[in-house]
Amino acid sequence: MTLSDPTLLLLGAALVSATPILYAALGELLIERAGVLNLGIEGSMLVGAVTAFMVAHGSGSSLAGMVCAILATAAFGGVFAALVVGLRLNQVVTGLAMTILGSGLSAFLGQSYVGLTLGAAGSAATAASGLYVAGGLACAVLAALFLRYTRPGLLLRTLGENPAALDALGLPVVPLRCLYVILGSGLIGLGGAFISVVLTPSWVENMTAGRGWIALALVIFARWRALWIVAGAVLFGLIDAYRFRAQVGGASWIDPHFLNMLPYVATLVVLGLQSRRSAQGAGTPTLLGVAYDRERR
Amino acid sequence: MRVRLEPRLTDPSLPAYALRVALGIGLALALSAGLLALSDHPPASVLDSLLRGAFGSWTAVQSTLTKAVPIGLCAVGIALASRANLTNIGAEGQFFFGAFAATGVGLSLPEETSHPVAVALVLGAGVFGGAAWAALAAIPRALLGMSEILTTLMLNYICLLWINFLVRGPWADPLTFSFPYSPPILDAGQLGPVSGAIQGGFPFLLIAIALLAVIDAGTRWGYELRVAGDAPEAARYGGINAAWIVISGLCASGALAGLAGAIEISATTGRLQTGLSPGYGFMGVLVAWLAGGRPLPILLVSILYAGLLNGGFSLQIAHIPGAISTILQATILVCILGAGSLARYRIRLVRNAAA
Amino acid sequence: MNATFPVPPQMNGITAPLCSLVGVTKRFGKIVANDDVTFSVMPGEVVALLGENGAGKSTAMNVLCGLYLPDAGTVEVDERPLVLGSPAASVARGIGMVHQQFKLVLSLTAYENVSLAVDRGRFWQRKRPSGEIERLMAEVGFELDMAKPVWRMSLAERQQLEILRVLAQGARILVLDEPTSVLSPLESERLFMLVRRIIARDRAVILISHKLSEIRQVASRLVVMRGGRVVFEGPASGRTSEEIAGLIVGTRSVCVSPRPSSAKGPDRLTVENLRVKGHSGRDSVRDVSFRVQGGELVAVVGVAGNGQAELLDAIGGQKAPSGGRIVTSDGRKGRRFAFVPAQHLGVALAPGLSIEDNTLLGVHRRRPFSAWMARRDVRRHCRTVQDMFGVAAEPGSPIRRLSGGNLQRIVLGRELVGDPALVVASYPTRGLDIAAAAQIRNALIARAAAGAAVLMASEELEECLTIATRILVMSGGRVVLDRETGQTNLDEIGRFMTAAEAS
Repeated sequence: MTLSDPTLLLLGAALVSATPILYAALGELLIERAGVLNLGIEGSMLVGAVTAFMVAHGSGSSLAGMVCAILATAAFGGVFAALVVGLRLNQVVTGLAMTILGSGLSAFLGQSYVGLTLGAAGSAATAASGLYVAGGLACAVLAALFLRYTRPGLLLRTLGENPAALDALGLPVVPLRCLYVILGSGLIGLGGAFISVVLTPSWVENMTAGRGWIALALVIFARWRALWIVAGAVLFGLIDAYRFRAQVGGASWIDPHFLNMLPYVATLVVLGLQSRRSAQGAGTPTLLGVAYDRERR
Repeated sequence: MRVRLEPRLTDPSLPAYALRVALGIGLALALSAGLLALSDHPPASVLDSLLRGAFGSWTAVQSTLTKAVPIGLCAVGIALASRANLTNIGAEGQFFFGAFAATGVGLSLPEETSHPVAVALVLGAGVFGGAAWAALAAIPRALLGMSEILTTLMLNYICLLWINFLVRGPWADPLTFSFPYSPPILDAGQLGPVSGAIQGGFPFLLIAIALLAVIDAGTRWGYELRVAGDAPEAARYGGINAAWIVISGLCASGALAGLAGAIEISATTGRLQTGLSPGYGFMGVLVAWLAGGRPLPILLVSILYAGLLNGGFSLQIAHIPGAISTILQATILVCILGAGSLARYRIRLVRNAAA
Repeated sequence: MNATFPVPPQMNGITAPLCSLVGVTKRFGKIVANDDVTFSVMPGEVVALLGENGAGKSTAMNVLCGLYLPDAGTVEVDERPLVLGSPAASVARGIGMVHQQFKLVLSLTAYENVSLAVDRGRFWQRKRPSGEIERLMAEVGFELDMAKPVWRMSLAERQQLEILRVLAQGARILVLDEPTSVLSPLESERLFMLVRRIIARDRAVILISHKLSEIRQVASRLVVMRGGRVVFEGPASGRTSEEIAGLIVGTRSVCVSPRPSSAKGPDRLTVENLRVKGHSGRDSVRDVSFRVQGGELVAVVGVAGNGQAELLDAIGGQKAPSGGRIVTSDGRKGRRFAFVPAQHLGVALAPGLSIEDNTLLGVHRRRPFSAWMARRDVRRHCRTVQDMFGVAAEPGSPIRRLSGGNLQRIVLGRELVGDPALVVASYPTRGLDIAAAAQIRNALIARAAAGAAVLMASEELEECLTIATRILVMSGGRVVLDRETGQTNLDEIGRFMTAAEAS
């Protein structure tokens, strides 16, 4: 069987719409493996998206936009890290607050950019979209290799499971957790930047439209494994592309709303299947969401 | 030089705690003022119109109290679940599912149903709907140990998509053209205001707050919630059916959020729509946390939070970006949380001696 | 006894101490956990650090390891000051601690756990141990499968792994926190041989333990703490267990009341052909039958892991039997007798709740409590439980801040409210200091003397021979010996305990 043109197009479209979620999910993976549940992911993506658009629009270079988005979101993640790792605030509440902050900040900063286009920078970015897609896949492979074969990766796996063990060995738990929250946030920001610079070159309030939550679901769906995230993201991209084509072409055998539910439902099913297994070796950071407090007694 | 946080074993005294919280609010205001000044909006006038929008007139107060109802009800539910160490961040979904159930009943009741019966059925459907949606997270949690944080979060988005589907598809009102609205529910099912001025849902909020206080004060169920949440093994040892406690606690939590959804339908909009909630369920999490889960503070904080929300809308009318209010919400929250954490820890600066 | 003894001259004064704590003070809020703690450790010696629960031993060791930052004082290693509050600095200077709760990562393999500690500065993760680790294993005589994930290892294996890891880090001062509490007598014996091998190379061991017999067996010097202070420091040789016990508890008297008379009442507990499955899925209790009558105090003994814990858990309702039956004197639904499980925090007590809430656990479904639990009744009940063994603490404070002895006092106090006719206690004195253990024993004896049936599991044979009226020895999941205490002796019990191991 040879691949017909429409199939290839569909696959291409799927990869492109999967890319922002892939980046965000990989970032969230790093953060959660370090034992931090980052519910600020949607806010981080928005910060990345607005920064990228503003810089790309101002400088005319989409690359500069991407780089600044990574830096700005990393700084945003730094605040989150300081609060939940440093001050040991509740991660769920602080994460939600960061999402609110991110959406407020991005709306505030981006208000004068609504309705603008990127012009030449935008078309250049769209032309280079393949590079970003490939970059996302490369990041996933690198993350998988990193976790599996390197000593820092081993430390990262331990960080979410038994930080007390690392601490007793004299390894720096708090700085490492902060580092991964910041690194992961940078990747999440890149995902947001991809939306505003490549996918729909424009800025609209809350334009990430829940992709952060889908990325969060994907990390669980992938059972905290990098390569499974790729599979999940591509699956999501296929659904997205199919939905788009169905909308354009008219008839669809199922209402698109139910297709959109699929990532969440699939995540719930995976969570259910996983809970029946022993927690050991399943890849779940067992202390996900728990602040590390050395002298707690 | 290194900074260390060490836990204090004794809880901070009330003045010490209040001082830190006041400092936190001050810091949040200063940060927001800085941002405003940078964007050429005089901070003083923004604060002024924010407060006016929230509490400046009788209409503003009425509107603030109306918004405090869903926020407060969700927060009471979340605080209740937190008694059993359950983190319910699915109040948003439970709210919408309650609203869905209430609308379903409100659309199918015969027109001649009497007012009290119709209102009771509509609100009852909301309670039931919210509890049912929460049960989807509660039962797997109780029987399989699935994290309720993740399941309730996922269920939010499933429910939102379901509502979207309804108001654009089977339940779309042909009279509203392209707006995603359902047709209005029957007139008899609409909850009127109390003493002509305050939203009819407000008494329900007061009742919920009182119930939470009673549960805490010394009910067996409240006690069993605490034990089951803290140590499931100890619960079994004490003859407590932990699974039942988890399910009942989370469902009660969802029921309150569902009631909030039904009240919105019955007393505010009269119909199901996607913009029914600007995130009341999530605000409930924040309010419950800020209030430390205690009943009376939940009432106060939810009214203040609703004021902030309302003030944000009035900013937009004054051509100041409403996002300011969102930013203010988040910074105040983060600063107060941070201040609370600093009250529980002591900070020590350590000079590194040469090794 | 409040005088502090002068430090005796060590090893003819030539050797310098390996490490010393000088004036270490550590406060937690208002609680002073360590108050001016000063002592030193010489190369080649085993220092026993003794004291009751809450005397400050663990705090002092956590300061030594860098986990706690003291409020005052210094620590010197090789006569040079140590950077405090930094585990990395402590590790680098050769301090290694084997915590009571092992700090191992369960999902990783044994080697990966060692690697976390030793392969600093590498980037690519090695999959198999270096020759150095293998040499070290040979030196101390370990045979561990380094590719095995830790969650599949036994507790003894995990402990070996912890020790191996600490040694691989180059530790010269090894702190062992109650190392034998998870080991069988045979495994403990092996551990002490290892300790002697370790100190042979100018290393030192600090041993925290409550078991006086093993302290007399291995320790060369004693450091005794009480109320956060060091109250005695001196050589171990020539001291009897009684003397050491006296140092630990101070002036308080410790005496155990005489064993209850053997006037027997009606059957309170009947166990018939009981089978219970263990963790591995195999039967850990096989076909056990016995009866306990009123007035009896029956002790279940055996090498750890031969089914004693599972037997008592099944009787207490914490584990469902896979066969046979258990009959208690009252057939009503729900447990109506006293049950003290082996683990207090997390099973008998909810660690995050207040003392008051914990005194209600299990009792809260009986009179005078109903769906509404009146404050007045709750307060009165809490006072009754606290007064039973004299636990003076704020009823509203979290229970986890109590010492091990007080936790057990609360559990037993709560369970004994209403004078139950049957008391089942799983290792009720494990990990307790001498005074608390004596108080618990006396309470059990008093219950039996008052006509109740008492069944307890214990790992201390001497305790059982002193207080029990009857001894059940378990081996391989079966009861292999059932004798009145007067008709048996230590030798016979020991023989039956190890019978299955030999066959």
